Amino acid sequence: MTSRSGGRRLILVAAAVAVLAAFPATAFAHAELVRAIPADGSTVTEPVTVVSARYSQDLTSASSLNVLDASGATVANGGVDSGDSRRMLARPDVPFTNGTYTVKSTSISAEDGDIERLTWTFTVEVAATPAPTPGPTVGASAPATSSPTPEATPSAAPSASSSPTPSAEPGEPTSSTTDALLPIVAALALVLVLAGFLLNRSRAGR
Amino acid sequence: MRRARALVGAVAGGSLIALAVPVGVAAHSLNPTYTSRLPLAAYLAGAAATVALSFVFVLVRDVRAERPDTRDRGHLPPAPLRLLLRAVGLIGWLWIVAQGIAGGTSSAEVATLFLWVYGWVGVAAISALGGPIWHWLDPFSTLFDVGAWVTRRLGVRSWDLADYPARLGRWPAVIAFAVVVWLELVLEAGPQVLFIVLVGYTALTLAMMAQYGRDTWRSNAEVFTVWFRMLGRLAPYALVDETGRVRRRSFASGLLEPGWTLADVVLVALAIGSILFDGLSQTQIWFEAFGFPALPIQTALLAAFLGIVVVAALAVTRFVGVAASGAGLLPIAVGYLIAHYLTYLLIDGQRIVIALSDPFQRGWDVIGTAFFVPTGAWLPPGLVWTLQLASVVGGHMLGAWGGHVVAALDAPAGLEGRPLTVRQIPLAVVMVTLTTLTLWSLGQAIVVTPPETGAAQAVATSRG
Repeated sequence: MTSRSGGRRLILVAAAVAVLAAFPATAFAHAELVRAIPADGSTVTEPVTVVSARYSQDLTSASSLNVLDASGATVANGGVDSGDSRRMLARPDVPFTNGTYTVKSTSISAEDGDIERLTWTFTVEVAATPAPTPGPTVGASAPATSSPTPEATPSAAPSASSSPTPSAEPGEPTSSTTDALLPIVAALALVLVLAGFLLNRSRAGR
Repeated sequence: MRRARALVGAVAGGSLIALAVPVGVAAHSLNPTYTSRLPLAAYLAGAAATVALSFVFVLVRDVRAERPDTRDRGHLPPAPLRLLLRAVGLIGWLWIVAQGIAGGTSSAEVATLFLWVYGWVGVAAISALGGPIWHWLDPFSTLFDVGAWVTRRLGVRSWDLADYPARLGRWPAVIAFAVVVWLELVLEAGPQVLFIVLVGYTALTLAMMAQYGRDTWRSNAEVFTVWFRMLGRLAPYALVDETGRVRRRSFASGLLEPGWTLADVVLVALAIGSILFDGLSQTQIWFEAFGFPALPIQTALLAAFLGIVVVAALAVTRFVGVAASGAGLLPIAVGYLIAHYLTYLLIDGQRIVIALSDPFQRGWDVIGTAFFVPTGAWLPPGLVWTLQLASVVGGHMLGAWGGHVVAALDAPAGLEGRPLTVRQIPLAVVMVTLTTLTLWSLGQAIVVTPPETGAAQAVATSRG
C-alpha cells in the first residue's frame, strides 16, 4: 500500500467520523396520553358519540385513534382534531351502545417523530330507561385540559412514584421458602449431574 | 507502522468525539421486564453449593485432563445455512440503519432489539452453548466481502495489506468492549445513539479490514467476533479456521485449548464486572449510596468497579497463570449472562413482533401486531429461578473445574514448585466472591429511573 492511498483513506475515515460527530443531539420523548374520555376501565351510562384522547405534545397527521368492539371489529376510525393538534377524536357513525370497547391509540409526536401505542377499554351500559344522571360522555366541545388525570392513564402507560421505595408489584409471586424449594432442588440436581460428569471425566478431548 | 498508528489514533479519536455527542433521555437498555426475584432460600442454597463445589474441585478431588485433540479439520456447515445467516446479519444491519435514517423511537425500534437483546445476549448465549453463529451473522465481514466484490468488478486494484502490529494482540477488542459496556450501562444508549455508533463502528471496521485484512482484524480487534469466539470455548461446535469449518468437541473442552492471552482474561473480567455492575447498580442499597448519579459520576463508578474486578483477575493470573484464570472465569461470565439476561431475551425479544408490523416506525400496523405487548406471564417463576440458579452455580462449577485442570497443566514460571491447591486458592476466593455477589443481586428489589420523568423520580420493582 502506498502512503498516498493510506493518507486518502485516513482523510476519508476522519471525514466520516467528523460527519457522525456533527449529528445533532435529539431529546427523545413520546407524546404521552394525559387524558382519555371515556377513561380506561370506566363504565358510561349513555351512548357514546365520540372518543377523545389528549396528549402531552403536538401530533402528526399520521397519528390514529381507532375503536374496536368486543368482537374485534373496528367501529370508529379517528385522528388528530383539526382544531387541536394535541387531541385525537374518533366518532362512530352510530353512537356506541351496550358493550365493551377497545381504543387503540397510535400517537406520533410532531416534535421528534416518536411513536407511542396504547390500548385501553371502556364499557357502555345504557339503562333501558335513560337515567337523567349525566355520564362521562363527551362531545367535541368537552373541555380540554393538559393536566393528567389518574383514571385516564391506561395500564400500559409507564407509571412513576416519587419515592424510590422498592416493593413487590401487584401480582408478583411471593418468594417463600416453599415456593423456592422445587427450583432449588431442580437446579442443584442439574448442577450435580454436571459435577458428576466433570469429576468422572478423566480426559477431556473431542 | 507510524502510518498505521496514526490511522488507528485518528479513527479512535474521531470515534470518541462521535461518542461524545450529547444525547437525549433514553430508557435503560436493560429494563427489568420480569417481576420475580430470586428467593432468599435459593440464594442461600446457591451460595452454599458454590462454596462446596469450589471446595470439592480445588481441594478434595484432583481432577486432571489432557489438552483436547484439535487436529480434526471439521467441515463446513451447509451452504444454505451459511447464506441464510449472512443474509440475516446483513438485513439486521440494514434495518437498524434504515430506522436510524428515518428517525423516531417506538417499541418497534430494532437498534436496541438487535444489538442489546439479540446480539449482546442472544448471540452470546448461542455462541457459548451452541456454536460460532456470529462467524456468518457478522454483517461487517459481509459488507466487506460485498465491497471487495464490487471493487473487483469495477477493476479497482487491491493494495498490499499492512502487517497487524503483534503487540496490539486482542487489546483493541478489549478497549472496544469497555466502550460498549459504557454505552450500555452508563449512557444507556437508545436507538439514535446506537445507530450513530453502529455506522461509525462499521466505517472503522471496514477501514481496518482493508488495512490489515478481514480475517486478521476480525479475529484480533473486532469486538463482537473476539468476544463471541471466546465464549465459544464452551461450545460443543468449535470454529476450526476462518473459512468457517467447524468441528464437534466435548462441551467446555475448549477451555483447555491453548491460546489464552492476558487480553482475554481482562475481557472476561470486564464482562463479569459489567454484568455484576448492571445488577448491583439497580439495587436499593446502591441507590441509597449513590442515588442516580450524573454521567461522569456513573462513569467513574463503572470504571472503579470494573477496575476492581480486572485487578482481581490479573492478581489471580500471578498464581495460576493466564490460561487457568481465563478457563476459570469464562464459564462464570456465561452463567451470569444467562442468569441476569435470560428473561430480558425471552420477554423484550418479543418486540420483533411489533417491529415486523411497523418496520420503519411510521405508525403502521402492517400485519396487525403493532399493539402487541411483550409479556412474561407465560414464564413460571420456578422455572426462571431454576435456570438462574443452575446457570450461576453451574457456571461457577465449570469454572472451578476448568481453572483447576488448566492450572494443573500449566504453572506460571517460578511457581512450578508451589502446591497446586495453594496456587488455586486466590482464583477460588475471587470466584466464590463474585458468584455470591451475583446471586445476592439477583435476589434484590431494584430501583430504576422512569423513562420520561428523569432522575427525580423512581419506580421500584424487582428483577427476574
